Amino acid sequence: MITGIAFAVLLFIGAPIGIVLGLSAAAYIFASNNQVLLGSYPIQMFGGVENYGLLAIPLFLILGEIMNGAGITTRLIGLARAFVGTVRGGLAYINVLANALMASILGSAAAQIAIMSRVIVPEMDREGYDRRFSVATTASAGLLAPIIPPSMMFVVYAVLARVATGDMFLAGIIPGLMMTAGFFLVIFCVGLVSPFPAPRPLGWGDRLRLLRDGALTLLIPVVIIGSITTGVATATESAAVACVAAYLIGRFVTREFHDRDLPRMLLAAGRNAAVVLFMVATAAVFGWVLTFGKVPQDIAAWIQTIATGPVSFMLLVNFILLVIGTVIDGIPGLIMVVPILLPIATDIYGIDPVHFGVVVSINLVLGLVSPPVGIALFIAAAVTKMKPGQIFLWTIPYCVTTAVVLVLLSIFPALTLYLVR
Amino acid sequence: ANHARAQAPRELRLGLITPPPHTWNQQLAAWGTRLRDASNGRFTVTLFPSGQLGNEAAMLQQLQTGALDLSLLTVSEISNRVDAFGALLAPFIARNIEEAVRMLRHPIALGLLNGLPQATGCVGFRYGMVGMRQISTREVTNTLADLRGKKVRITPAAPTRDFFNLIGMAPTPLPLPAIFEALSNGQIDGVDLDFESIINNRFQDLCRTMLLTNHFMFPAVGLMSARVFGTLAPADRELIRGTMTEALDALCDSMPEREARQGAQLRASNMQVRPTGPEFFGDAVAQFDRAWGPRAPALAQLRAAFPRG
Amino acid sequence: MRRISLAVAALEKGALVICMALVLGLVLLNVVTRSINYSLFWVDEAAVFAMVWACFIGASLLVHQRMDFAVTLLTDPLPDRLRHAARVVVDALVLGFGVLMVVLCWWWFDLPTLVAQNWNLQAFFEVNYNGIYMDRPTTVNLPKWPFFLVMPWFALTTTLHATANLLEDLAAMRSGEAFAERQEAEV
Ligand code: NA
Ligand code: NA
Repeated sequence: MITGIAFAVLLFIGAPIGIVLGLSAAAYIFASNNQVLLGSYPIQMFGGVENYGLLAIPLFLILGEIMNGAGITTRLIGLARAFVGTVRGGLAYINVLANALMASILGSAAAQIAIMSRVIVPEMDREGYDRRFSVATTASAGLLAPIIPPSMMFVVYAVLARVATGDMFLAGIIPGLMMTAGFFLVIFCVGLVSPFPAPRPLGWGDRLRLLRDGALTLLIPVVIIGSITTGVATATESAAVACVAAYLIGRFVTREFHDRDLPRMLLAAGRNAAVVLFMVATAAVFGWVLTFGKVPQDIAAWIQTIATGPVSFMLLVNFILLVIGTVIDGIPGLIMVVPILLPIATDIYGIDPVHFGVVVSINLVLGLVSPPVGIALFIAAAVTKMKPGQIFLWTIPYCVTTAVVLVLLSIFPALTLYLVR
Repeated sequence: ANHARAQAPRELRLGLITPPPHTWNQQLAAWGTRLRDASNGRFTVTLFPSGQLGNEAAMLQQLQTGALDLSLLTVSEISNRVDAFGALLAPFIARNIEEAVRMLRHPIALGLLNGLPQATGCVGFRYGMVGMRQISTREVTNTLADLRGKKVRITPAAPTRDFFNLIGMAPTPLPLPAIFEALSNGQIDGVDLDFESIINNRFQDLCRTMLLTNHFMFPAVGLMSARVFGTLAPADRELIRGTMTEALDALCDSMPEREARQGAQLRASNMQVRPTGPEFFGDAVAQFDRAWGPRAPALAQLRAAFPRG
Repeated sequence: MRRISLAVAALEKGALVICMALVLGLVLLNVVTRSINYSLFWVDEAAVFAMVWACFIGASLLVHQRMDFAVTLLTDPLPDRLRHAARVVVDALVLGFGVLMVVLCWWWFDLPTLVAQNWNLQAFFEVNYNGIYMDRPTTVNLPKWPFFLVMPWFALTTTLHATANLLEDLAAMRSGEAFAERQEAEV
């Protein structure tokens, strides 16, 4: 209780979120008279970041810097423009489509949003889109990354729930496509309400030029997919390999990359990585003290008194996770709730663990954009120099769409299990 | 006052890296109930499964501060701090799972536990285990030459790494969730895992050959924070030690039957299962013993107490 | 105070660049060595440590640059005086966090006991079961405590930067001058 109040006060007075989490964790330790935990506080914070999977964050931030410095990102969007041409709102559709394609390469929303915010938001700016809409679209479409396989979240769930990773991946395909379709629909409706800016005219000569300049940039996704499928690199390492490819292209093909900019790029990527990683660190401590206090377990006991059947249980889980997801989302959220909720789901309500995993993951993915703590929101905001609050309001249509998908998935397990069984 | 404190109800926190359905969790949950009943409700045990409180290193640190009371940690993690435990991770130390169960109850193995408080700040009660390790490869493996230069995923521990280096493979530590992808795309060529991990992750669908080597056993130790242990009344210490010993012995006793069942399941898969002995690996075992003998004195003693052949 | 803070921040920028270069370099090294079947056991873990250092050095730098994510939804519309007061309170909170970290790191590294035990690490461990000097990484063949040093460094520099921020904001509030702007991520 004291922790809840401390958390809210600190948060709304405008303290940095990492600090809020760190101080709230300390407040909870004292409030629950568990001072013995203070002896593990700093090492727990260190350990929160000491995780191989997180390497994707700095690496993809570096990749973004290099791709920008090498002039690759503008050419990549130029290529997309050459394909779509002059459809009204084309760039918004391209945003979602490109994100869905990227999602079949990347496994983490954070990494994908970091990269796509840099690539596509400036381009939408140039065409005169409302930046809040562009950033919200990019952040929301980036949520496809952990749902369309491969997905780090599904991998973590598969381990926690002891189901096959491949099953999880297959189960993510239909929900991912549903979300993509839903997002197209959102863009179409937004376009009806407030028409998108007219696309710049594009002649066939220009189109060919864009195609020519852009063709080589396709090498980056090819390098990422290629290095993973050939086993040269893990999904995380593929970002580092792509950095080398982007560097070589920038240095010898576009000739826009200058070695002297490299320290500046590393510094910029480092600061943005620190923003995210420091929150991960303090969130790890916060989650750890709450686990010690059995806060998640208490929630589970309460669920059992309310839900009467599998569907009402799934809907209740969805509601609760949406609330939890405001503060603890993504993989840390998964790690905290799955061990508690999964046994209830499978043993008491007879729910298929693969189905449960997809629903829980999508829900916690939604938490990535919900304030006050939403990593995806923060990354998109950091990269585009926006306020997280502004973006959140504009993500609401996408969140509602995702929520509708979640309800459909909860009621019809076949949507996830069809490809698996 | 001391007496009153000893009689006060006490909640013990037990951290595990394994998820709730795992044998370890089930056995230890049952132990919690048993301890509660045996102590007339003075002790309750709360399980924190699935690494909720952190990985093994993090749990060991919490055991040291007394934030966490109990855990079951793999010898892999412990050998990282105490070289002597390398003896239990030596190749071909036990012929099969039945012998591994006997070995872990032998005075030589149990004697290693005496060094734990000074080295780790934990009291070690008894050994638990998972199944014996086998080498499974993507490609068909007929001779040692087929393994040379191939990348094999291992659990990161110095003895494990050394053995695979000695047989000419390239040991590659990877977290469990990353193995499936790495094995599918050829980032690694094989895995060093027990039957259960292979079945749970369906690696039998990705591997052509399993060398049925039983080359490593994979023990774990039931631990209690020495700091906490020191605050308990002697009778309570014995109660916890005794019931925990029974629980972990029951866990080990259940292993041969599980191993037989899971082995049969794998033999029925498309993967070729080849029984393979230490001679397959040339003099690698002898070289290992020369390197690790001085660091882990129990190694020679165990080899003498459990001779092969 | 601001001058020391600036000097430390310059140092931190250099260190952050080095850490990020290490992250990239080590991950690439792992790709290369694995592809020639000569995996180096320790590279992944070393890359992770470089990332952890980048995280905490960067986090301290963020305090210096007043560049962190905060919910300013409620404070932005406030009149100047209240907004400034909120800023000072936040400065004080960040300072409080820094001091908390200093205290916790002091307990954790426990130098007085180490000195009392004549720098004997085993004796130190047996006194209080504090494993800080015994802890070893899984694959990097070094003790772990040098890697932990980033935590007290982070604690001290955060305290320093937060103190400088607080003094500056207090002075600005008293003189009625404009506050230093919060910096936005410069990407
Ligand atoms: Na994906
Ligand atoms: Na959230």
